[in-house]
Amino acid sequence: MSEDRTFLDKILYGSGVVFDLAKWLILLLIVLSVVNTFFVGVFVVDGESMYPNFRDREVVLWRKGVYDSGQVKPNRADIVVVQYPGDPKHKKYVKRIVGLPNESVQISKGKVYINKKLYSEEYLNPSLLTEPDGYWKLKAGEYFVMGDNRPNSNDSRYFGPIETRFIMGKSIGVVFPRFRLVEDI
Amino acid sequence: MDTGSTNSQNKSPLTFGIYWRKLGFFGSFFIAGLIGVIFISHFNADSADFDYAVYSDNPVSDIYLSQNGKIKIGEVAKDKVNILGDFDEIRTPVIDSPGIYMDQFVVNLHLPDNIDANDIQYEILAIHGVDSTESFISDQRTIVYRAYGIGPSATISVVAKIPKGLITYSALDNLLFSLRSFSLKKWLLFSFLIPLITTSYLVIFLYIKLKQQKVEIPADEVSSLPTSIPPAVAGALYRQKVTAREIAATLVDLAIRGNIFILDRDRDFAFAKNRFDNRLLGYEKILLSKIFTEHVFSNRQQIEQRINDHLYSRKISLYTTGVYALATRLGYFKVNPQTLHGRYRLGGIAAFLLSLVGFLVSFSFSDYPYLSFIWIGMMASSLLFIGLAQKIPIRTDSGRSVTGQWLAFRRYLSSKDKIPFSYDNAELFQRFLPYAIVLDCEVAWAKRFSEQNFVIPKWFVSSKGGFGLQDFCLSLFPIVSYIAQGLSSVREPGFE
Repeated sequence: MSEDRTFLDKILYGSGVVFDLAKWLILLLIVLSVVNTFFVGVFVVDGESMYPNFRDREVVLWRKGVYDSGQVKPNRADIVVVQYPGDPKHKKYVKRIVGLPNESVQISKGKVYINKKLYSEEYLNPSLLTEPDGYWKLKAGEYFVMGDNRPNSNDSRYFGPIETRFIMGKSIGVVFPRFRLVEDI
Repeated sequence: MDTGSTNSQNKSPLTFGIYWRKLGFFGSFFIAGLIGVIFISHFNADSADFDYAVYSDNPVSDIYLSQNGKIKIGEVAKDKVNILGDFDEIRTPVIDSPGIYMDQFVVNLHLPDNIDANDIQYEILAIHGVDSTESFISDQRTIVYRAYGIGPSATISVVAKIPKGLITYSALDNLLFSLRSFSLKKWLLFSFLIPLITTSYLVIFLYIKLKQQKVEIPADEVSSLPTSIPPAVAGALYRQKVTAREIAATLVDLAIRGNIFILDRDRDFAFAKNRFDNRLLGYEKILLSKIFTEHVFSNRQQIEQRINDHLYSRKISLYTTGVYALATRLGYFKVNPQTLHGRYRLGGIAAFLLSLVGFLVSFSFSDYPYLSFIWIGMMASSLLFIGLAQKIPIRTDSGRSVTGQWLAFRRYLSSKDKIPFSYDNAELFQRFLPYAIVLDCEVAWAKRFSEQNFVIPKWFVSSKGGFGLQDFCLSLFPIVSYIAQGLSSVREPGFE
């Protein structure tokens, strides 16, 4: 069969083989790409800003666009993936939502106050102090985010509150190396 | 590939129905896909590659905004204003990890004549080691952003929010903004419309072609074979394709002609060679060589292993080629259907792969996240084209005429009138049975003989006793259908 094949026959056959063998892989790629773009993604934590809850090099699963429709609003203590407002195209961070729209956030003597009331952050090491001191009045559609590792996190304390459009999605849990859901963190 | 030299009978028996070559092949594909997806999908949170900053040795930088929304940094056009729903925005990093300590850095944003700096909301964002920042209006057309004590890892960005209507955008910019504002529903609608239009076009095209090349069926039934051609060729002429039915019909035809026995055993079956016939057609010899090795007997497990232990079977591809070639040589087709189908397939695959490239590239346009749906629509269209184009009629005048006669013969085979017993038609049932299989009417054909006393053909050996016609059909049809489907599924691509 192969000896008397024309050039066209070889192309027809070759392309057919490639397509036939690869079609399920291509389908898988398409489905996963769509899922990864619009629904669920993974990222690798790079840095210690959420330590000890998210550690460096851990693989985290997150829901994309969960807040885009406006029907679901970010809640306090949600761990979210945000774009850095100074460079939204290139820099993404994992932070925790601390202040909600129209609230006031104050940091004083290592503690966080929401609307002038002490905010108890159970997910933090009790000995950890939040610094530097500051006061922010959030506008409508603005959120105050911070990393759990307060001494080693660049967050709203430094770049200010972020608008809703910079919140890309919500973390679901760590999938590698040790599986755990955000609710358990 | 199946080279035909493997002696499957010497292989160890199968366990759990796992065929290791296929499992290994598809398993490796799956693992490769999984690794690929993990690599392409992850990004590093809290870090980023960065290739855009205006930092230089000069600690003062000038950004010029023009009236049409273009941004120049120094003398070089760098970016455009970001068009948003409520306002237009400049949001650009100016320093990222300079690698040295700087006492201060100043950015002057120069506005066009029609924009007053007092109308602008402005701020400077700085992280990763900056002592302090400030921003202020220096004159009506200039905003100054200043940072002090800049560390080697610092990132500094400037932001300016411009009220709507002050910048005059080009038609293209406005179009792109409109596209960006499209809702998910609109993108989904577009992506659905593409395959819908493709399908509509192909269906209309097929309708016109089928009308132009309509097969005229003679008014009267034809009660004998219209032409003396093998059942597989009649089937290829009937549906312009070689399918599992042609393979099944060839097996039954070979049995009727005394070349093989079909053995029906309790919950199992086998094939046995009978005699060597040098009048066998090429594709028939190939089919037999696929079922039998050097032994005269092949049971179900051995045939299944010969089918399933290969990704593709070259022999079954050659069988298909043989049938198409004979039908074309007899003048029934304008071109060999296999070649034509191959060309359509190539065109469809090329369109599919182009769409796939577009799909993957579309992810780099982060402002248009739903653009990828359009490419999915294009891919669906390509697959529809591959499927539907194969139905375009390609019979010659002679082919259409003969097809009409075969359709009239099919009418005879599927008639509801019972055929009474006579010595002349004692073997009529099995003589036309292979043709009834390729013409999709074997059950109707069998029903015509329900009032006759049935005698099991010599080529069908069953362990069960008291066989009637219905038992015979219920035993034979599943066996040949099962084997034919299995064989048909391992044809190489392009030989369907």
